[in-house]
Amino acid sequence: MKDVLGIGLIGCGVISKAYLERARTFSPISFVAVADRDETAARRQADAFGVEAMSPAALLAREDVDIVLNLTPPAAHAAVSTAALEAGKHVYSEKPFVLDPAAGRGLLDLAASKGLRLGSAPDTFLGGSHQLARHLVDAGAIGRIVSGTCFVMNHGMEHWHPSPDFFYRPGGGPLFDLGPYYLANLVQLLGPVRRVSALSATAHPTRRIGVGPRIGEDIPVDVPTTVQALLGFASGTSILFAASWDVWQHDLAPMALYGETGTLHVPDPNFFGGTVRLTQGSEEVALPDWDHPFLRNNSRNSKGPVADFRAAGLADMAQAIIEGRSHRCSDAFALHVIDVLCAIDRAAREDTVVQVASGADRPEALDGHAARALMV
Amino acid sequence: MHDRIPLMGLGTYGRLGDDGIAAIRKGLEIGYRHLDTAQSYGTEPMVGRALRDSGLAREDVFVTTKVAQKKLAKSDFIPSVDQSLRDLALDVIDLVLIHWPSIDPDVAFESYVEDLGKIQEQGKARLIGVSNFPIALLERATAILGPGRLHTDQVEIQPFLQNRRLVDFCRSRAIVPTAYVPLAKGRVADDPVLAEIADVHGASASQVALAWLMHRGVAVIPASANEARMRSNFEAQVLKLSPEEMDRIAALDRGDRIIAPEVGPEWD
Ligand SMILES: NC(=O)c1ccc[n+]([C@@H]2O[C@H](COP(=O)([O-])OP(=O)(O)OC[C@H]3O[C@@H](n4cnc5c(N)ncnc54)[C@H](OP(=O)(O)O)[C@@H]3O)[C@@H](O)[C@H]2O)c1
Ligand SMILES: NC(=O)c1ccc[n+]([C@@H]2O[C@H](COP(=O)([O-])OP(=O)(O)OC[C@H]3O[C@@H](n4cnc5c(N)ncnc54)[C@H](O)[C@@H]3O)[C@@H](O)[C@H]2O)c1
Repeated sequence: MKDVLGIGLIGCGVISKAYLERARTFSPISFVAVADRDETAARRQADAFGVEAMSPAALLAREDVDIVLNLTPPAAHAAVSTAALEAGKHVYSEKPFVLDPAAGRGLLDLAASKGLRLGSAPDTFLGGSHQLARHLVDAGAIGRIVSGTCFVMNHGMEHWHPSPDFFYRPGGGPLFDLGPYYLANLVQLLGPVRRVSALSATAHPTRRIGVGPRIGEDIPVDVPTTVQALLGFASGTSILFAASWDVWQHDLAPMALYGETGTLHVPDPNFFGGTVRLTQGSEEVALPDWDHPFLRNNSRNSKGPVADFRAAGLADMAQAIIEGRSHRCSDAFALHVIDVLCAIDRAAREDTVVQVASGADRPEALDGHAARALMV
Repeated sequence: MHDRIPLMGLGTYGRLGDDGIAAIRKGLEIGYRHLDTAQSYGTEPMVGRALRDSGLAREDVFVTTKVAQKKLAKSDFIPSVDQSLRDLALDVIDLVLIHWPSIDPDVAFESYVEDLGKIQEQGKARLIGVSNFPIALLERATAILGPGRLHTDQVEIQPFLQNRRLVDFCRSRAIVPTAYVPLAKGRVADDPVLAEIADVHGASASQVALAWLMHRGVAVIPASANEARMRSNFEAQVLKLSPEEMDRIAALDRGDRIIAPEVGPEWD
């Protein structure tokens, strides 16, 4: 058996750089080919990162591609992943890996029937801060978790993304674009969601592109841009969740869990790092020693230095294939997250409480030791 | 009843929740009879619970807690000790320390040192002491409380930061030095000299570090979440080091301080 798996990347857009840059961070993956339906896009990344550019069909025919990394826009995810599985490749997809649970189940069945792995972003819940939160929850540091709050609210994507159309089409909107990070972290911390209710709204019928060649162009908005939901977890915990691209400013923290014996403040699950805070009763207390490689600031964004270990989920899946164990960013876990997002969407549209049919096991925790084992 | 701090104790920093209770419980089963906690660790309820669940008699176990740096103001000090008593579910705490001297200019040194004396007079603490006090502050506190009142100064002491001036000063005033991070957060396990000495005794480097401290009259509070390591640390009490071995360890001092927060004092 190999100890490094070959990765073939399809979809050389904005996010592809972040993945290609991580090739030197993680030991079980190596990029061997990139493809895009736009040839220039593929050639650009090939030149920048010293890998071969080719057509998607040629990439799927390559012997040395073990895993196809699907970084196309959401609407293309299912078709590209299906073709890759048909070609006998394992698949790791950006989120959301499908637009509805039925498509997801079809893809899971296809992967299972071929004995192939299917995995999906987000993997930020593997970050050092979120795994510390996981450790504290599992240790019982705040007792049984009664309720919590979770907020992701800003004013949208068109001011920084040069082709933001997909953000405002089905599969986009704050619920499907950002929701996966927050839901994935909640499910890893609390277990599966059983039922949801929700309200939604759309503040503007169009959005104006703010950067790039199409600056000034108005694009249609086909999805709700404000969603507020109540999530009932199987554990009995209830979470108030709001996702919006209609908010200019707010003072709410991204995530807080309220337990019988204290409160756990969890940083933004859109990132790997950030500050965890814990109280016992109403008093903040010192956190236990926590040594985790996915805490180190290794990148910068507009707000300053951040820990960015994107591709950790891909590396974990590669390592899992090599070791014959299950992978953490699994298809069943991702499917449950999509199922919850679709349930929220439906609850808002139909003004009803929606039961979530799927369940999911919490992915295994990834402590500092296990995380280091994925690194070069 | 322990009339002084036992030389061997269990650190409880980070032992939170049900897992924390189970680990402390395990420590008591192994034989630890001194539990070191603090208001700021959030582990007082776990210590109290483990103690009750253990079925041990109250007087058999010595409990130390520490008043948090942000609870030293006149209005907070005594109420915080009352809260500790509730969280620990005890009538009296064996030893109460000031965790760190205050850095707040509005909180007078005299005020919290007097409050420390008061909780002993009120019977809330059997013994009182301090933590992270350099020599100058030990002298100021003794001037306020009178000699013989401070039972311990809990500071960082480990093979790579031996703190000899402070240890000698404490001894001269009958203050028992207590070593926190006695294992240098686990780093002593990698030291070749300690490993060599350990080999001779069929022991571990960590046990040698703990034995060296206890031979010098320093109380130790190693921490581990792992049963085997908790047990092995506890068994360091049977190890006997020769004067030559003690000298070799003395030569490992290199002033490597691990715990040096911004809120700390001017160290000796
Ligand atoms: N007064 C203060 O300001 C202050 C400051 C710091 C600490 N303290 C007190 O001092 C106690 C001890 O300090 P600490 O826990 O920070 O440091 P420590 O006892 O020096 O070291 C604990 C670390 O060493 C590892 N370890 C324990 N036994 C070991 C062995 N036999 N071999 C190899 N590794 C071993 C532990 O890992 P495993 O858990 O995996 O075994 C843990 O990571 C604390 O719990 C706290 O009560 C007081
Ligand atoms: N941009 C981000 O910051 C970000 C962050 C996290 C996740 N993501 C996710 O990553 C995915 C891609 O986002 P992006 O911002 O890179 O988008 P993008 O529009 O910049 O890039 C997508 C690329 O895929 C190519 N493509 C589209 N359909 C294809 C097909 N059928 N076959 C081959 N190539 C095809 C396009 O030509 C384009 O180059 C989305 O699922 C998004 O949710 C993006």
